[in-house]
This record gives sequence, structure tokens and C-alpha cells, in this order.
Amino acid sequence: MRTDDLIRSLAADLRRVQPLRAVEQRTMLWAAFSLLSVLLGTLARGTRPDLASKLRDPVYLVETALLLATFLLAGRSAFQLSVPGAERSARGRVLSIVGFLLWGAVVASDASAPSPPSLNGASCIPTILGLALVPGLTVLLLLRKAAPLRPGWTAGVALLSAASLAVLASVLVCAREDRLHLLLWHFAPVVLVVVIGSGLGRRLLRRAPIALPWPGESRRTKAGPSLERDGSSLWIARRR
Amino acid sequence: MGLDRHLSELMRRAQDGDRRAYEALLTEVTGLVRAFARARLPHADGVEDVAQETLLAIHRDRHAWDAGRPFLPWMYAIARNRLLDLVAKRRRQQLNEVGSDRLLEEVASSAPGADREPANRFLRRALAMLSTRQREIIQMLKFDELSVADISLKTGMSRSSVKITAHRGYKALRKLVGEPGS
Repeated sequence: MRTDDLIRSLAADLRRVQPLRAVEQRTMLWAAFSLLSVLLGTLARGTRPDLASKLRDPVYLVETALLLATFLLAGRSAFQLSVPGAERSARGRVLSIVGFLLWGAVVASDASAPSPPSLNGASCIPTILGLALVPGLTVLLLLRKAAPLRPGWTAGVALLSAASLAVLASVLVCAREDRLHLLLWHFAPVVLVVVIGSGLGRRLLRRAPIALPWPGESRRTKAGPSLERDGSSLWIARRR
Repeated sequence: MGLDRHLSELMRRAQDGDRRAYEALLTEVTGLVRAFARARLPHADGVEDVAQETLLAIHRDRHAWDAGRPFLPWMYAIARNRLLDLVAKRRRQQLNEVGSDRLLEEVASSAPGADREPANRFLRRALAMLSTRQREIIQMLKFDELSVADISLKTGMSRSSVKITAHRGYKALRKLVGEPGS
């Protein structure tokens, strides 16, 4: 098909669309919703008995600040990545990853952490995954409605954001402080979720194929034609 | 800035359903994307593919343009993405073409019987099980020795479509002859 004909077909197919809200607005709305859902989950689970004294511990405050910063930076990056050309530099993305790694480093180097460490405590994994579920699914659904050009990165930072918020909530719930426990059952699951999510990004953020009317057809079918039926033009072939 | 403002206004009207503004926008976008692709592709034959792919992506994702942001970075981000995608696809197709040349030879040689006639019969039977379109394309490529460009002209299919159809045909052939890894 000639490009001029394609332009005419696209113009003929034009329908009014509802533009997406601005990136900042979408980020704020999602962050507020996620905070609320995780807060409710945390309250339902019950906070650690020593929370009041922990909130006066500077190391604990640094840790929670790093997790909060990771949540916000990664969330903003994910929504930026979902709009072509909206991310001016990779700084936000990189900073969010650095924030989370720093949290891991602070946990690993905390000299006040009690010993001996133990491998028990895997029950924190379902807690973290449960708390991350609502924010994680919501952000993926919202991103699918946009136009992410780099699905791996987009899904990766989106899940980093949701998971770091869940970890933040989990340290309000879990009173265990030994390094091995925190690294093994709080830090490592997030890394795993982010790596898997990033690898599956193309599937997680799969969108509807490009859809156009057949020549001579006013409305097209949802599935669209296949190459085997007719491969007579480039744009029909690319609809799959 | 003037161009961006002009295109942003056209896009805003297009989001509102104004077909005339949309046609004008896409026409202007095509020129910009052609220049963008021409400057980055070693051969001119992919330029039109990138332009058409970009138009299709803009059509699908037009809701994702934020009227508060400039239009050109949005458009060029899509064009760049389509261009990289096309380059990657072509690289894969080139690899597949080399592989499939070997495959057809292997199909013939792996057929039962020592002389050539049973091998040919085996190959013809395998080909007969493909879809009409796949069979025609493979026959033209491998038996009539037509180039992808010639087949594209003859059938009216784009070059990419010819390559994709042939690739799917080769994959189906691999399955039919039970080639390892199929």
C-alpha cells in the first residue's frame, strides 16, 4: 500500500479519543491509591510491637526514607516510560535502582543488627507479595493503557516501585532485624520480582494490535486479517 | 518551536476527531519521519517501511500524547522505536533466510531413498501441506529463483510480508520433516 493511501485510511478510521492524564497526575493518583491499599494491608496485618521506639532510630528512618524514595522515583519513571518521549533522561530510573540497592547496603552494613542470623522467616515473602499485589497489578493495568516503547524497563521499574512500597510496609510489620533475614526474605524477593517482571515486560504490557478497516470495509473485525488471507500490503501484514 | 506548535495543534484536533487535521498531521509527519529514517538507514528501501510503521503506531497511540507536552519528541520517540524494531527484524530475517536455504537442501537430502526422485516427491508432499500462500512464496523463492523484490512486485505484497510468509513456511516445513529443534 502506498503511504498516501495509508494516510487516507487512517484518517477515515479516526475516532475521537480521550487523552491520557498528564504523567505527574497519573503518578500521583496511583501513588495515593497504592499507599492507601498498602496502609490498609499493614493495619490488617498489625504493626510490629516496637514501632514507636524504632521511629526514633536514625538508621531505621534512613532505611524507610530510601524505600519511600525508591517507590516514588520508580513509579514516576514507569509512568514517564509509558509515554513516548516523556523521559528526558534515565536519571530517575537509575536513581530508583540506586535507592533500592542503597537500602540493601544499609541493611547489610547495619552494625547494630542482632546476631546470630537464622534462615527462618520465609513467611515474610507472602506478606511482601500480598502487599505488592494491588499496587503492582494496578500499575501494570494503567501502563498497558498508555504506550510504553520499552516494555522491559517499564515493567521492571513499575514492579520495583510496587515491591519497594510493600517492603516498606513489611518493615513496619516484621520485627526481625538480623541482616540475613532482611537480605534473604525482604531484599532478594524484590530483586527476583523486578528481574522476572522486566523479562516478561513485553507480555505484561502487551497491547491490542494496530487495527484498521479493510479496504472497502467500514468497520473492521476485532481479530483482523492474517497474512495467509491476504498479504497484499504492508499495513495489513503489520496488523498481527 | 513554530513547527511543534503547529503539529501539536493538529494533533489536539485529531484527538478530538477532526479528520482533516489528522490527514494534514500525518502528511507532515511522513516527511519528517522519512528524513529521520533516511539519515539513519544504510539503504533507502526501509525508509517507507519506517514511515508507515510510525504512522500506524501514532494512530494506535494517539491517546497517549499529552497536549501539555511538545509533539515532536513524542513523534520522534515512536519513529526511533519503529526504526530500531525494523532493523532488528531485518537482522533476524537475514539469519533465517540463510538458515532456510540450508533447510531446503537438507529436506531433499534427508528424504528417504538414495536417488533424487523420492527426495523430490517427499519435498513436494511436504510443500503441498503448507498454506497456498506459503507454498507459492517458497516455490517462487527457491524453485523459480525469484528475488524478494520480484515476488513483491509480482504479488503486490510488501517485501516484509514476503519474507515473513516465507519464514513461516520454512518453520512449518521444519515441523513436517521433523527436523530437530523445530
